[in-house]
Amino acid sequence: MKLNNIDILQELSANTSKIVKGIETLNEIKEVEIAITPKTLVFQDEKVKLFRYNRDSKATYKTPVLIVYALVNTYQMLDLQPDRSYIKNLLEAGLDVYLIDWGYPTKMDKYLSMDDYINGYIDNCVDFVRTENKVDKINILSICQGGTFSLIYSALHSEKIKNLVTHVTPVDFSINDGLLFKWSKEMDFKAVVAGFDGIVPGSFLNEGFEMLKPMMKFHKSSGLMNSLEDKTKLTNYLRMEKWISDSPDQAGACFLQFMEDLYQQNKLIKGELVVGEHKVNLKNLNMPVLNIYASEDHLVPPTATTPLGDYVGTKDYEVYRFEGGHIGVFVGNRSQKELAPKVANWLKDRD
Amino acid sequence: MNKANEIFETIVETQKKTIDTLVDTTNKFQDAMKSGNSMEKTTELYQNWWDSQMSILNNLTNKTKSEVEENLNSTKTKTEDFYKNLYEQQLDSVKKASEFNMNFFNTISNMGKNTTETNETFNAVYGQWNTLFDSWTKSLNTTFESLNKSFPNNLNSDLFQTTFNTNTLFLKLQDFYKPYFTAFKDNNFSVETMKSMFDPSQYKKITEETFSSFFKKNDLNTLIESNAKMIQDFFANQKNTSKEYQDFWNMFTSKFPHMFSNDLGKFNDVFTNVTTSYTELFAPALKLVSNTKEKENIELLISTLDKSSNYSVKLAQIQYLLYTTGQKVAEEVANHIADKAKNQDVSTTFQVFFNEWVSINEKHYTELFGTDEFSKLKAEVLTLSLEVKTNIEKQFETRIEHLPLVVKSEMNELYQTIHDLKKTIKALEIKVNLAKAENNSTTTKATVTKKQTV
Repeated sequence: MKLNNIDILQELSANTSKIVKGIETLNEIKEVEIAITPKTLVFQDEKVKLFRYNRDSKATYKTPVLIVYALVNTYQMLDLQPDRSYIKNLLEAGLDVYLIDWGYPTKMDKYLSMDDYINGYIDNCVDFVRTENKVDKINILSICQGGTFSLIYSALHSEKIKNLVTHVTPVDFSINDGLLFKWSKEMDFKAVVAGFDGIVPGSFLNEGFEMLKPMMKFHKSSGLMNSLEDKTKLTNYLRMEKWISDSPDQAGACFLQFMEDLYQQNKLIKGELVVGEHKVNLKNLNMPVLNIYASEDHLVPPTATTPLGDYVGTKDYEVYRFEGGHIGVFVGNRSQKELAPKVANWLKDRD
Repeated sequence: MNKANEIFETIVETQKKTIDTLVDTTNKFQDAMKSGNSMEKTTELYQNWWDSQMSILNNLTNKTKSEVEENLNSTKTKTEDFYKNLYEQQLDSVKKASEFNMNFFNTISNMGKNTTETNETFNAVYGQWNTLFDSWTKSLNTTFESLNKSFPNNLNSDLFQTTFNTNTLFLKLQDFYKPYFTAFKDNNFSVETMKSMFDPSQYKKITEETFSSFFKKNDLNTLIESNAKMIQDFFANQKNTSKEYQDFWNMFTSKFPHMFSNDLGKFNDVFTNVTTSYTELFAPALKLVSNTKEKENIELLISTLDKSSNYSVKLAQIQYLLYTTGQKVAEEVANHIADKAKNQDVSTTFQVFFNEWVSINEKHYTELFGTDEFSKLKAEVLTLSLEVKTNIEKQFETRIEHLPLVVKSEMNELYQTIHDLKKTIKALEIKVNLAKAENNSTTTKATVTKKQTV
């Protein structure tokens, strides 16, 4: 086709037809479900819930696994749809999987601090899993900010953790790679928390994330034009959109400390971070650590993740490079065959 | 909803068919020109096109008319206006299309036998048809917007809105780059010509569409005006202070007469020429006023005025950076099209062009966003906007503090107390449980020892 006005006119006219078909398809899609792998609520601490995933057969691992997700967005991306579910893949590999659901903070929660989340909620969930399974130590699988929290937790409570797996976890915040790290250094987070009256809206975070790749929305929707008649593709697209739009608000006290102490002052790596009454020393990480990072991660660049090995106390430290982006690590096609087997095998060798 | 789909499908299919038949007729005409039969073929080609266009348009009006009438009689009031508007818009578009066709017929039947003239006439037809199609599509787009409310859930509605917005951007880009593509087709290409075609005011709109979050309308002007009025009233009232301060007020009044007039416009003139902050400007006057709630409130208003003004300035600076980067993008796109023409790379589509335009934007804007200047400005704009918000909320609290209502600051104290109490209770629970466990262990030992002695 030639790039001339009359041919473009035809193309645009065809686009309008596609939009009309899209209206029809969208009206057929009544409900979009994500995170449908069956699980049971086993423990609750205020708004925080601990789930245990249902298994058809007995787990083949002695040590249960506790998944600690970030406070930003929800864990449901790990179980987006039946054929793209990291959790389902872990279950099929034979693991006994628990997961912390942080819930949706309200104004009542504005004073929840990093200490509350790490030495409070995570510790209570870890103790529950240990008691229920009659084990002294459990495994932690952690994602992004959940990974940072888990590193801090494991450094403070190393006697309770057998193996630690971190995924796309920021550790060294001194870098200027990636707009998130660059912009965070200039921001007045006290004004942000005060301006939102102590509860930072999820929508504010989402807008910020969107600006990191300013043209992404046009790439996505332009590609979507050709899928508007395909109910399956459209439903898959809507699943991801559902997860993206479900962004819980952030407790101001925890948010403020995380952004100031970590993003701006990089205290974790420097050994200056105090959580509650305890100083965090990453050298106390004496358990095996598997550190997974994504090569094309624009949210947590590899330079923020890979330095972990220089600070841990354990000699059993492995770093694993996954080709893809921050989310692609979990939901991409390759991930379904690669990630869970890698993690499962690593844990098996250390069970 | 099915009825809406059928009507839309009919309308859109009609558009598609009219375009397709125009393209088909053009190709046949060009073939006829090549074979030297253009003169004989013209009338025949036109007649066929006219017949098919009228058949398509008649089909549209008949079909939609019966469906719209059926719906107008339905009890679903939400759809009544929607269909009524749709029908009236389409009738209007059809009327224009018919007028166009009639004009074209007259032009063709009256024109000379010169091939070049015929070709030029056909080219002019495209231009006119393009304009007609544009307005037709725009009218359809307005009805698409209202259709957004009828989806089963917000997620679907958001997705539709996103697709629709992208299509709107497609149209805007097509509109903007039309002269470029015409030059491309006519081999009338040079980068200088491209640059001369660049319409900054048009491209500005595209930039605003792409980065809408930086161009949201806000009511800061209203805020600034109302704050300025309250400050003006406060200072006007202060003229009745005790005698010993009268001299100072007289001096101050003579230096800043506008602040003490009843004319808000003149009061605001003070600020347009002031380069120092308003806080510093009013500081001497405020020293004379005793510390009352009213003075606190005025200080808050002045601070809000300062921050609002700074916010507007900083936001304008960010918008300027976005506009100038947009210009760089447009330049690179122009060079890109020029290269394609030079290499006679003609096999492309508007979708491909759009993806390339998006990639070039991504490159330049990511570069801009990574600069220290932009990072600092963005942070400042955010901080100022939130500080204005906080100030407004504080002002609101002072206004309602005499009412029997619990305000935010009081609730925050309560939340802090609850949080601290919960923490204390949890710590105590742990201690109690530990003590119980120890006690149980001691009792067991004592029992065992007792059993052993027995």
